[in-house]
This record gives sequence, structure tokens and C-alpha cells, in this order.
Amino acid sequence: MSLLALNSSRRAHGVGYQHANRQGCLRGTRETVLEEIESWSEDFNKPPIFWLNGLAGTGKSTVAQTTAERIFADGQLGASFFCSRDFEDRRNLHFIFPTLAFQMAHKYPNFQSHLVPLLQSNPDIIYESLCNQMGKLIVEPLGSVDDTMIIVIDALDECVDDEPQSAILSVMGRFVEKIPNVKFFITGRPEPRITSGFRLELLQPLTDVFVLHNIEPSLVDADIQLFLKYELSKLAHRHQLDGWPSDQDINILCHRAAGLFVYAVATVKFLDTRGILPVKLLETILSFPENTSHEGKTQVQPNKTLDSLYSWILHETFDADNPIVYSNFQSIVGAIVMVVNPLPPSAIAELLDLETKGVMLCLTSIHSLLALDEDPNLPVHPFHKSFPDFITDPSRCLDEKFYISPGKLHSDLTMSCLRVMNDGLEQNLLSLPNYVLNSEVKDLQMKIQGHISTALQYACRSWHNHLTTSQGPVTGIIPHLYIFLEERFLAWLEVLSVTGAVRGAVVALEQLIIWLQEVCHVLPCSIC
Amino acid sequence: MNQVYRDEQLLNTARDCFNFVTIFFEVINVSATHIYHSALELSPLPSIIRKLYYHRRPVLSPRLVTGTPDAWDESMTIFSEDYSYESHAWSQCGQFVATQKQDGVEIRDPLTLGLLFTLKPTETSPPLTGPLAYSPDGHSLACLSSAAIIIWDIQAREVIKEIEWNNPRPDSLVCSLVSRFSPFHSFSSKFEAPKHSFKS
Repeated sequence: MSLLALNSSRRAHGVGYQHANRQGCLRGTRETVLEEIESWSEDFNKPPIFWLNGLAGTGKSTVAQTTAERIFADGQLGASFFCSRDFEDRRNLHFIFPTLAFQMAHKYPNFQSHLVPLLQSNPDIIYESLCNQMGKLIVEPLGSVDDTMIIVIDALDECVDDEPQSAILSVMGRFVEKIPNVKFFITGRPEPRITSGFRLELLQPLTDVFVLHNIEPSLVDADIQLFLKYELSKLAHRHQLDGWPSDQDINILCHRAAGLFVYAVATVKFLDTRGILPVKLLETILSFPENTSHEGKTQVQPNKTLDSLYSWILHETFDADNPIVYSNFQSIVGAIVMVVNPLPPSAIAELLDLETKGVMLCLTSIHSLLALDEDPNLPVHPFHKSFPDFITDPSRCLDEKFYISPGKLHSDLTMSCLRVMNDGLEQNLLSLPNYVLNSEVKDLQMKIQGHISTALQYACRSWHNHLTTSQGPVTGIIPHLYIFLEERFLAWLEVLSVTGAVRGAVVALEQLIIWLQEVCHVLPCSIC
Repeated sequence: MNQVYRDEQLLNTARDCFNFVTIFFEVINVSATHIYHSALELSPLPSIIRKLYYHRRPVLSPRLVTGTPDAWDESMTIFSEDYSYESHAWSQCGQFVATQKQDGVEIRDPLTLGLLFTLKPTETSPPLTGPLAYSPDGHSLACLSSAAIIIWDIQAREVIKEIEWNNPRPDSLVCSLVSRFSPFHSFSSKFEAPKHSFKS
């Protein structure tokens, strides 16, 4: 019973260091920063918080992964949470403490015996304030644990946070001294709310800071060179290429990376394009005019460096002057960048009313920018957050053929979701017997998988997220909304009921009402 | 049909759908089929949702349904700020809802959610943590802080008492019928002796 309460508690999934296919640092690289972290983690007299501060693409998450693996091997990893804006639960601050508590409860029996009664008496604690969450879920149960431990939180900047100073850091500042046996390793970009959060009066004296983009450039270059040599030698071995690439090629690539590991990773992925010899691709890359330069100690210029790479890859891939190609590119890549949770290519195809083969063809051609599997039924997402940053910013993505306007894309996705729901929802879609409770249906999950496609499930859960962020004419959306509310509404509730997402219906309808109040009174009379 | 009429119609339908979901949330949450058997069956006779969907409910053997309401129950309030609240409490008369924020307790009209006034702690009060509790007579309101129970006189809108407690921190607050507030520890199921009483 106690484990049931624990395991059924609401939390984020797949956030631990052991999930996903994250690679740690290549042996022999990032030694300076790893030594600094090791020294901090072994000495509990040092400040209880370590902030690894780094610009986009400097390798924070890879360092966090290596750190978590090492701390785990030492038996000191209390819990880990790798935030990601690609996933609804992994970007939600309110999932952090419940998820950390869940992991700690499985590791420390005393912690579990304090936590379980709380979860039984208050299963909705995930909806309470962060302050209550940290106090009840972390600090109080830790009172019964004597072990020292380190908690890893990666990419805090990827969480949605409306506070001017990071909400979670503000809460930590109030509690961290009450749990002297716990240390926190946190990574994040130096965004204003993160920076000001760590500067809070309570937190500043308790925090060690390491600025990743301030490491001596020659050290970073040496690491990137090592990485490129290692990865490209594997590629050369697979293609039976002797003496490729040359040291000079490596030096040029390293120089162009300008301190950004993500540049090196994207380049390696691009060279590993199926069906094309990497020699040819490397020649093309090297013939591309250089557009980056080191400037002083803080030489990292993520935007300039990565924009150049991303623009180049897109132009190399889509060189035909065919408007349909670009329109499809914007729809497909836009969907990948804008969806609330990553979807598989097959679901994206259904959502956009396209063929799965066509979607896969488009995505395979830019595989170096994505985490893409060969199976079209597995989710796809950008391999690094700098790509969505680039492609949705008109001041960075200067070619309008590739630029994705978030407002317009959300408007298109709203209509796609409504179309999928209006076409796919039917009364009693699962053929359930009268009066039955969801919990009484033994094969409910199988029925859901068999009758409700991934795209339809996504549309039912997420249409309102796209609606509220849509921009542009709404006349295309209104007729779909009429059909949805007047003909499909109860069937929509059925889907939310069987998938355990009814709470989302309240939020969706509330946002719809606000949207209608704001938008409809300015409608032209074109759809009368 | 002009545009204004159509927009109003869509908005009214959306509001009716919202009422349907919030009033029958528990039913919808546990059973997809009872959306028709219970929720739709018991939705108010003049509601839009009933007019749109009642004829679609599954054909069942004859039943007798009584107690179908004439209008939506208005005694329910949904806060739109999904995660920003700390804790809430209804006044016994149902006329007010109190919402605890970090810097005070807001008293709101439950129908419009309009802010009526805010009960502020004193400058030396410890940070508010919640939960909240109204006294049965509705004259006083108490809120747990990190180190004490803070009690306001609602009419005077001022703190009338701060009561410190011994560790551990209580996790709820109860008020007796004679307006004695007391912290409550759910783990030990043990009440602390009332430490403060006052006349309403």
C-alpha cells in the first residue's frame, strides 16, 4: 500500500540522469571543470550549491551527466532532474520537488517512511506552492536521513518560470541551510532570472559558481579537437577511409566551433548522413566561408557561430527553389519545434494531413539537427535547444524560407488539432459497456492504443496550448470551434477521462473562454 | 445571422461546457460512460449542453430521474492561476473565499473572484505558509506561518494575535466551535492543546 501511494504520486518521467541517451564527456576532456566539481562535491564544508553557468552549446548538460554518473558511482547521488523545455512535465517547476522526493524515497527507507503518509493524506501536493513542496516533500523527510547526498538539477533555465527571480532558487534560499547534509549541483544559462536568483541575499554566500564560457579558450579548443578526432575516426573506420580527416581539417573545424561543443556535435551528425560519403560532405563544409572568430577570453558567441552552421545546413539540404518544399519544411519542422510534447513523425504526419513517408524524408534530410530515430513511431525532437532558438528568431534566421513564425505556427497547429478531433472523435470510441467505471475496464490501455491515435490524443490534450499562443486571423479557427463544441465536446471529454487528463479540460475551457472574449469581438464579418 | 450573435453563441456554449466539466468533474474523471449516464442526465434542463447532446445519450431501459436542476450550481469557484495559489478557505456563510499568498491573505467574492481586500501580516510576522481556517462565526481568520499561527479580525482587517508553537511544524489548522484555533499534526493524529481563544 505504501509503495502504491509512492509510485502513483504525480511526478515527471524520464528526468533522471540514467534516462535518455545522453552521453557523458569524452574521457580526457573538460578536465578543469570536472576537477573543480569533484573538489566541491567531496567537501561538505564548501557551499551547499554549485552553479555551473554556461552559454548555449558550451556543454553544461554533458558535464552534468558526467557529474551525476560519478556521484552515483560514489554512492552520493540523492536524486537528479534533467529539465527540458521539449517536454511538458520536464519544464514544469512544480514537478521538480515531487520527482526528487520520489527518487529519494526509493533510495532512503527513512525518507520513504516519512513521505508516504504525507502523499496518502495529500495526493494533490503537486499543485501546492513550491515553498510548501520543498518544506513538506524534501526538508521534513530529510530530517530522518543521516546520509550526505548531492542532488543534480540540469538546465534550470529550460523550465517555465514567470517570476523575475527564479522561483525555485528563491525557495531554496529559504530552506537550504536547514538540510546541511544535502548539496545541490545546478546548471543553467546565465539568464537574468537565474542570475538574479543566485544573487539573492540568502543564496549568494551559499553558492559556488563556475562559468563554463570563461575557461581559457586554448583548453576548450583542445577538448573539442579531441572530441572531433575521436568521433570522426569512428566514422572513418565505418567507411574504411584511411588518413581521413587530416589534422588540418580538424583544426579548421575546431576553429569554426569557436568554443561551442554543440557545433562540433552537429557537424559530426551532419557528416554521418546516410548514403553520402563523409569525405564529400566535409569538403563542402570546408568550402563554406568562415563566419566565426574568437574574441578575447569570453570568445563564445553562440548565436553567430551556430546561426552560421544552421543556415548552411538548411541551404545545403534544401537547394531547390520549390515553394512547396519550403512550405512543408515550415509545417513539419515548425510542428517539431512548437509541439507541447515531442511527437513521432507518424503523428506529425496525421496532424498535418501529410504522408508519413514525406515527413520522414524531410526529417531525414536534416537529421543532423534532430534527435531522430529510423522508426517513424518514435518521438522526434531538436537535438539541441539552440536550433529552435535560431529558427524562430527573425533576427537570427534571416532567410524567410526557413524562418518559423511561432504565432502563425500555433494558429496552424490549433486548426490541425481541431481538424483531427472533429474528424476522429466519436461517441463511445472505445466501445465501453454502459455504466462501467474506467478502473473496471481491464484492457483500457490496449483499447486506448488501438482506438485513439497518438495524434488524436495529442490534439485532445494540447489544442488549447496552441490556441492561446496563436496569432493572426482567427476566422479559420472559429468554424472548427463550433463543430468541436456543438458536436464533439462530450466525445472529447471521454478521451480525457480514459487517458486521465480531465483536469486539462478545465484549463482548456477556461483559456478558450478568455480567448473568445479577447478575440471574437474584433472579428470581421467574413464567416457569417 | 450576424457575427455578434454568432460570437456570443460560441462564448455561451463554451461557458456552459465549462460549467459542465467543473460541476461534474469527479464523475467525468472516473467514468467516460457516466458522462452520458450521470453528468448529462443531471445537467440543468435549460443548459446548452443538454440541448446539444441529450438526444445522443445511449438508449437504455426505462428509468426514473428526479432532481434535475433548473440552473448550474453557482457555489463553485475555479481559480485560473493554476499554480500560483498557496491555500484557500471558504467562509462558513459561503460569501467569501480567502486565498493565501506569500505577502498576505486575499479575501475574494467567490462568484466574480474580485478582490475585496487583503489581510496583511505585521512587519515582524514570520512568512505565511498556509493553510487557512475561518472561525465558525466568520469573524476571524487564521493562517499558519513558518513559526506561528497568525489570527486576524476580519472586520478590523488587522492581526489580533500571533501564537508560536513548539516543533514539529503542524500541517493543518482546526478551529473549534467556540473559536479556538489549534495546530494539528496529521502524522501523529494528535491535537495540541488550544493555546488561544477569543470572543467573537
